[in-house]
Amino acid sequence: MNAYRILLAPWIATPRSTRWLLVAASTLLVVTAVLVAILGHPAHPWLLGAIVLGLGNGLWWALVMPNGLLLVLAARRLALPGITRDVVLGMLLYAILWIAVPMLLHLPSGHVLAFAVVQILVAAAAMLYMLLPAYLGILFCLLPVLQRVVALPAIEDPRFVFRGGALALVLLLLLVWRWHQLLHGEIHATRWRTPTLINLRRNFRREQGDPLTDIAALRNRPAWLTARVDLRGVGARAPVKSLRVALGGAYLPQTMAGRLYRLIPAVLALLVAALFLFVITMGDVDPSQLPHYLFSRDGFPIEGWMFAVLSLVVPMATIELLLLRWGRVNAELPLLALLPGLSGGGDIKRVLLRTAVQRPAAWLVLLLLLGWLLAAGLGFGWPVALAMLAVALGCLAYLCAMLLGIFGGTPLSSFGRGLLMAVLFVLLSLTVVLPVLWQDWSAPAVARTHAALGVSWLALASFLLWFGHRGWSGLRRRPHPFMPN
Amino acid sequence: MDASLLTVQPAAPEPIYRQIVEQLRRLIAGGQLVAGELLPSVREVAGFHAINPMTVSRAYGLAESEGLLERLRGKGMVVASTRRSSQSASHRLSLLEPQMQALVRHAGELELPSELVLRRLASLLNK
Amino acid sequence: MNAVLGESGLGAPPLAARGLTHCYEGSNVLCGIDLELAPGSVLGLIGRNGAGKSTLIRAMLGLLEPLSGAACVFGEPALKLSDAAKARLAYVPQQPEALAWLSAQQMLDYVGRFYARWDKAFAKNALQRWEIPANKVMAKLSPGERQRVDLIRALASQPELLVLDEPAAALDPVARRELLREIALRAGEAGATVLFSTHIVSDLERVASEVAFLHRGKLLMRCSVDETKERYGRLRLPARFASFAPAQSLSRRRHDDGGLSLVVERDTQGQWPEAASLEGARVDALGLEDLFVEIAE
Repeated sequence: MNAYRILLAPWIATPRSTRWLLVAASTLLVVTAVLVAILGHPAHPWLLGAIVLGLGNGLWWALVMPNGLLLVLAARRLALPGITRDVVLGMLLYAILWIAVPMLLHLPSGHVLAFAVVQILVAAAAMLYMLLPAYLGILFCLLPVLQRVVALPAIEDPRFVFRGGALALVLLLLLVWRWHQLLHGEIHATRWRTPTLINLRRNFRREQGDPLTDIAALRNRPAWLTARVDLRGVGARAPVKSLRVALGGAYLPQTMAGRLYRLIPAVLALLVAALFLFVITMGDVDPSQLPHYLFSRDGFPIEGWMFAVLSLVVPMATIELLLLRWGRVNAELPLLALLPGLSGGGDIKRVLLRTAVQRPAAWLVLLLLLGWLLAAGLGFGWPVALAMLAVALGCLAYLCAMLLGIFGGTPLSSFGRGLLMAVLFVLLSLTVVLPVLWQDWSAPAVARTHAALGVSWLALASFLLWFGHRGWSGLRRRPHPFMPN
Repeated sequence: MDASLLTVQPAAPEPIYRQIVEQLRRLIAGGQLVAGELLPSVREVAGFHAINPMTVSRAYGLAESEGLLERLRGKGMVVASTRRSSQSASHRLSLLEPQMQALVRHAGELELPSELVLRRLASLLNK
Repeated sequence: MNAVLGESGLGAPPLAARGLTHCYEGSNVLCGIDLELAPGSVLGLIGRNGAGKSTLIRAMLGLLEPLSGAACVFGEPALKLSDAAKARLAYVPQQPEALAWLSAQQMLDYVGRFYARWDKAFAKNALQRWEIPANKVMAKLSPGERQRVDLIRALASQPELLVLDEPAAALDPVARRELLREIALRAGEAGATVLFSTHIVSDLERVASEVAFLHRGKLLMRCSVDETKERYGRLRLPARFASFAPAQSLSRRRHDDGGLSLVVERDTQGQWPEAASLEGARVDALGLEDLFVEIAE
């Protein structure tokens, strides 16, 4: 029984890249909670502290402790002794640290039990969310409804301790049961039935550039959802279409039936989201008022922001796909490099660039037209239209620069990519939203933001230009573009 | 003749073409291959045993030069009808050389007196 | 560059490399490799893991830019192959993962449209004979089935030059035998040139006409398979004659009792070195695997 190992177990079980982040976040929240409790709001110091600590609790029990389950599963598979015991003891220890110790500190305030109940509820719910299959985890979105269903009284109410305590007990029992079920059952491969924890791990691995996950995704897709490829006319005479087949993913030319089938999950998701919204608001919002709200000038900033986000998603997804393709040595690259007649007699580099840019550019144009339509319909003038155009052009420039980098052998590192994307996200969102808000601002403020925006766009444009040029010269130097990076 | 009559051991220290020639020699000497019998084509043997056709044609060529086989135009390789008596005895004796060397070496390792070995050899040859 | 490595046209060797050097993450993967294949030959490339076999093959086909040196396919520079040269060449990488979102039938259909000499019947028959589900998405096939589908793709284009990187790694013995049979028949009748890299030495001994040893990025030896058995042997010298060991040997190993094991080759007259005739010395024939193990250790 090694106390050191028990303490260390959750640390080891968390993925390396998030370890420090989680510990830092949790520590910050704990410190804040303590400070708030000591110095805070005179009326309800302990409540605020409880909420902040609850946040930390939730974070810790959602993102760190459930990894213990993965550790236990791995230990069972490898027949390693002692790990299960250590992990369980670790959980008890951390439960004491996170719940019992703050409880003791709150003794003087007189609301100890309520405080403890809140923490236990948060911790149990967070961990349960991670361990439940994804389709049940989605139901957690309906938590606001809980208030009406369970009739939980307010926190100060003495009855809260009993009702809340009962609920906490139920959650704990569910947790123990689910833990046992996962230990002794199997973890399903399909997205919806796996615990959210594992989904998170899988998505996380993909972001790290692990190429296996996209093949695993293909393997687990049910047959009716797989792409139906349209191979008509493919060959040396149709270089763009042939290249699209080889690039796969969103580029794949699909039959009409295939496209319609692939739309079904998106439609279902929309329906489910609408249903949830309805349940949550449950009569508070009049549905007939909805179009009025959506298409009002007040609602436009949100929609404009969504336009910016969607416009950014288009190049982002394209770039991720191409990075995957150009990252693997045994996959499409040697096939494309040695396929005779792929260029159809033209320059294969130009054909490749054309193919890679065509579809995303079409989507960007479509989004732009929709945006303009909305703006015009709501009566916004040319500043907003110009802003939307800038967003579309910015996304296009981003796409082209990154493509040249990938094909030219000078791609951006993953850290650089993340940074650039964050910058773009902020800049594009601001570009669309600010012109709307400007209407209510004073002239000097508008002028200042004008200047700031202009400078930022200039900086971005020059960076993209430099980066694109570097990629372009790399591409020119390469004998053919199908070399791995 | 069928290609399966030959066995090929790729891992043996002897090159495959020599193994084939050896086996052909034994089959002919043992009577399982009669004079004038058609041998399978190079392609058949190579395909059956999954070996390089050049090896098979080298083996056939070597066997032809040793007088075991002869080439019939239009049909392929057949077992030579003219017996080996056309070849000199000394040439044929040289073909036996490796086995005799091996016998001598074994006898030396077992520390057998040469008269014992020669007596047994004589009795075997006279059978 | 063309003049150095051979004119394009009928006289050019199907595959040639001169002075290929390549570095990867700081270490030398290829160190000045010269290799040339004769038309109609079957060359087996053998080497330890990490010796650089895959890198060499990719560099020779123009799939990566080497640090220095050049490679030629049918006399054309490998980095800028014409469509005509590409149509005569087929390459199967190790653990092929290409086009995992297509089914086997679709992939063969797609690839077949680019080759003039595509044998559709062969592709269909091979899929049936090897019982590969033709309409299942390739991501769902096992690694062995993926390998076989990619092999079918390569063979159906009826190439003059077939390059295979560890083709038998994922195949069971029956499948391996069939693959070797295909290679043997194509090399024979169609006169195709084959280059394949492998760990499985018995496959090499069966079907290869030549073997090349790659060790730590250098080409240690290159000769015909028959020659390795006839020309090389292991000389065992007892301790008292250890000093008589020939100076030239491919490898040298000292035993605990003081004796020496050397890999020696016959000289131009076909004689073993003089030390072989000493009392207590012995020359054993070496199989290809033993030869490789002795040299590559």
